[in-house]
Amino acid sequence: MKSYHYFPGCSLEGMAKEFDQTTREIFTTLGASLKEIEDWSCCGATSAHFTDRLLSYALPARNLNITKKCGGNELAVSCAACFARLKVTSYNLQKDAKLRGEVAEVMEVEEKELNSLSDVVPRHILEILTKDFSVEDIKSKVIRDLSGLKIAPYYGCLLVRPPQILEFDDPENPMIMDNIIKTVGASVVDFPFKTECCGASLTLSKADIVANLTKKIITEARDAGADLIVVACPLCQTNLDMRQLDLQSDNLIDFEIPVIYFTQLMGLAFGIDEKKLGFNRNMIAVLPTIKEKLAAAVVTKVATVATAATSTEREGE
Amino acid sequence: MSTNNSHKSQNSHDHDKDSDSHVYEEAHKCYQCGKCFAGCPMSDVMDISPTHLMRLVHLNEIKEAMSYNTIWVCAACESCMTRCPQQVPIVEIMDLLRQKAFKKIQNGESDGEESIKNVVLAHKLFLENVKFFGRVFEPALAGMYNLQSLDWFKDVEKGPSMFFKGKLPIIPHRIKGIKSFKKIFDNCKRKHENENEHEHKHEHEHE
Ligand code: SF4
Ligand code: SF4
Repeated sequence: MKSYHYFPGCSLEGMAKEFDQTTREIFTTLGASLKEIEDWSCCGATSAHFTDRLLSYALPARNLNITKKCGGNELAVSCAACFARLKVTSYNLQKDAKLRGEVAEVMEVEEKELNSLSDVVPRHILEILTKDFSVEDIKSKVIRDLSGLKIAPYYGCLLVRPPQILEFDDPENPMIMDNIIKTVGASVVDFPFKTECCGASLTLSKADIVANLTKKIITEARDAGADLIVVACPLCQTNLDMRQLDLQSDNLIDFEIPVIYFTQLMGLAFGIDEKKLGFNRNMIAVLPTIKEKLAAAVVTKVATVATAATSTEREGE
Repeated sequence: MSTNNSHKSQNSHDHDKDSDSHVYEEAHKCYQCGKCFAGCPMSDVMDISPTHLMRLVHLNEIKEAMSYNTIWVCAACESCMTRCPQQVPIVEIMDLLRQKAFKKIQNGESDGEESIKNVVLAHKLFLENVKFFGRVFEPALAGMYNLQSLDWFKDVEKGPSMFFKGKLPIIPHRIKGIKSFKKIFDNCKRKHENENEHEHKHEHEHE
């Protein structure tokens, strides 16, 4: 059985609990286990790297160190923002001996402890799902037909940039999430705003600019014909979902589009109990859209089958 | 030069200067093509563009570069760095400027522009929250921010529905290793204070 050490991160304990739940659910369905690392702490997020260089490395390093101490050589991460911080830390600590020394000093650990952190590789679960599992592994678990759903995959910033360090996917046109969505049977719309920034890191303090960026992204998704936006980042999800309420009340948009995590979509395809998928936690209702689109797809399918049947009958006559 | 002796142990500061200037020097590669500015989602609200900022760093006008809101309204989306044909580490350079500016604001040496006050406050409160719990506890963070920014009603109407949806946890979690965790923050702070002291001495020597 595949087994991974797992770092949920703060958002997945709070605002984005459904991301955590569905991550665990889909790994269970795929027959893999996730072991949450003991007593993990915040990775420092944007605030640490904006204000304090050493802190911004020491906080993620603490989690990498814990992973190593429990014998892990990989750390699975769902949150795109934590993934970026862990990866940047791992990269720079390996590259820069002086930095390693300073970080060891503020962490009050032996420098050699940090030397071996290079053995711990932070991995985003999208990468794990793509590289460690075959398309067949995933397809074989799909029991619900999602072909009626049109999805705009939104990657945002932190999964793909900076590409030199994250080594994740093409920074301008990533495909990794597109492929997963297609594998579980939904269709992907052409969405040129995949990697535009939604400004979520400034949500608290620069609400007006963020509203504008959000509006552009969701409008583009709607115009591309998407029923849902699918994301891999709790900051993006919260921002794109919640901000729509403000945009509506300010009469800046007159539509809505649900924003869900790719793990929720996978869970839906795997037929996982709807209660466990956490759609009730979204501000913009998700289930009505899904039910409507899937029902419509069934009706079209039945109609096509019926037409095909009639024409075969006719041919037989 | 006796001051130097007493600071033997903090000799790392000089290295710091070196490593800082080494990063700033990367701005020399910039040929002002404007590509970073063209793709920047925040350019509309910036005092000066990232392109202009790189020019200032190139000219070693660090103080001036630090004075604009640009470094604080940047969303760290890294589009600029990804697209720069010269591979200038724009965000790394801006990180250094922000960290320096933040230190000055913390030390009360600079107030920070009115327009950036709330951004700086948000970062400060975020880190205090993390230092206290070991992890972010969102309700406390949002509450403190609204109180201290005097933006009392901001997002308040969202509060109840978020609680209702179970979006926000009600009971905070505190990590077990909180004692040693807090030490990391204190050690960083102490290191900065030493550097700061050293920097001041340095400035006096030059006067
Ligand atoms: S994209 Fe690079 S080279 Fe062009 S102006 Fe910006 S920093 Fe300079
Ligand atoms: S990282 Fe900052 S400066 Fe660069 S494009 Fe993004 S918001 Fe603009």
